[in-house]
Amino acid sequence: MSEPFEKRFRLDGKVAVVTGGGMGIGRAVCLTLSEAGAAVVVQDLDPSLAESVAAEIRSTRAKAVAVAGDITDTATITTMLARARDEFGRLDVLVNNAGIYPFVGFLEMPVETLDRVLNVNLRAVFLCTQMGGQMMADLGNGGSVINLASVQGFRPGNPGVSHYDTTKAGVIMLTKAAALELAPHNIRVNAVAPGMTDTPGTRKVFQPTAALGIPLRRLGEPSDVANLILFLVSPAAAYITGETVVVDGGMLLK
Amino acid sequence: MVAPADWLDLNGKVAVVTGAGHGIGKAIAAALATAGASVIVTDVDGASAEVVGREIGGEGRVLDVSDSTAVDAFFADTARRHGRLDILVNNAGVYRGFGGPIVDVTNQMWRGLMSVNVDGVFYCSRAACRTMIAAGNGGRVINLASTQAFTPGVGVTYDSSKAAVVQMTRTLALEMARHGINVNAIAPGGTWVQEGDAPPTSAIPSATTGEPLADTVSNRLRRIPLGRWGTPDEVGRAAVFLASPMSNYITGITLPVDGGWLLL
Repeated sequence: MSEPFEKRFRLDGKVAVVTGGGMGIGRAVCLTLSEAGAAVVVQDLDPSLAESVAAEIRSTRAKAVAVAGDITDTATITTMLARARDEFGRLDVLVNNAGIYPFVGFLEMPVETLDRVLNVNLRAVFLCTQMGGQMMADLGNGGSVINLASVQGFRPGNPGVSHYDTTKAGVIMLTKAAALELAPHNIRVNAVAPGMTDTPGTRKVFQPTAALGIPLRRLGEPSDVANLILFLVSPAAAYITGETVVVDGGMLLK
Repeated sequence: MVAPADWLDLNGKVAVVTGAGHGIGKAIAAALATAGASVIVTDVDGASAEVVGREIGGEGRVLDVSDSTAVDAFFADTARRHGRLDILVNNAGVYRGFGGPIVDVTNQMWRGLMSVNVDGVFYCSRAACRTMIAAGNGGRVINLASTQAFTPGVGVTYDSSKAAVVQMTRTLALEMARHGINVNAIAPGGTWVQEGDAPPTSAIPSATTGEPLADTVSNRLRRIPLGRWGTPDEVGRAAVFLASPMSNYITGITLPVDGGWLLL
């Protein structure tokens, strides 16, 4: 690889799709990939959030479009992938970030809640990776998929998220299996495993003292996760596939 | 939010890379220098350290990491001359000529490899952490582990030494977090460190020796998911990422750069 150093960590001319890109980590990923040169398709359940992030990117004179819809609906997946190809001509990066974590105790959990979490956090990630991987394979330019796992894919969280933890362990293995099968198409598949990250979503559930127990003594920022994702999808990480990279300020060490 | 221009900027940082006279260490030193760091290239072969040091616009020093007295003296001298130490890359390591099957491993082979791959990481990390803690500016320690920490194959000596590096990374990360020192490791897989282009991995013959260690390594290389050897430069880029502000919240991890070796 002999491209200039600064280009190895950039995505100029590339196209990225980010699910759940309307806020929190997803929004930070959209902005970061855009700053690195990619055109971005911002997908979100909430149309106004998706459009707001796309507009924020366009205000920097970079390219972005919004796609609204429920990620568990394969029609939404088809639409967002087609939008990348039809609007921007290619698909290089897919970030499966959309995820939910309603707190319900293990014994109390209704089947409907279990199914919803399995559908959003695992089944949709599988289908997005499959359909996105197929499009990348058809386009013949390789590509890079990033799945959002979690430290709770390695170790259970506090009571109330047994369904979430299970889906995150599933994402870790899905990442490996998909990496193995997509490698012949030069498509890399990796995951990131954030620890406690400060977002509008998590602010509703974290205790104010949460940061005290973390070795690096702070909660993660969405940009911590987004910067890792940028590295993993960039040419600099061309030999990294199948891996779940932890970004947790040292939480798993304790 | 870390701004784009700051993402990979190591200007003003002082880095030490051990075993950097050739191969992966040299590529790491070059990558850190390109990112702006002042790099001190060390190697047990002082001449190669000086050559590489000049090439990358840094400096070269002889250092045998298995000699704790020399290590302590080197880091004290570095602190005195440069006024700071920000990044330590524990790359010095050996693997050839240290036996495969345990019945062939002599005491000298075992001690010789452990003294570089494990003791060396310990001595350098201890000296560097003392310096960094005293300075109070945080820092980075990046250790070179290996996929062989997780998948046996080269030999009991080498494989065990790399598993030690993985756990040293985790324990040190926990200990150093309150000093703002992030400690991580990189685990290269099959990396082509010789001169010239790497041969195709598909040309590696399927294992027929009947010797389980050599056969498992051959079989993995032949079936490597990304279909090729890795390059030293790819390990170098991972080191830049782990040395840079982009990875501020990452500590205690071992990052494979392995083309999918660990998936097999």
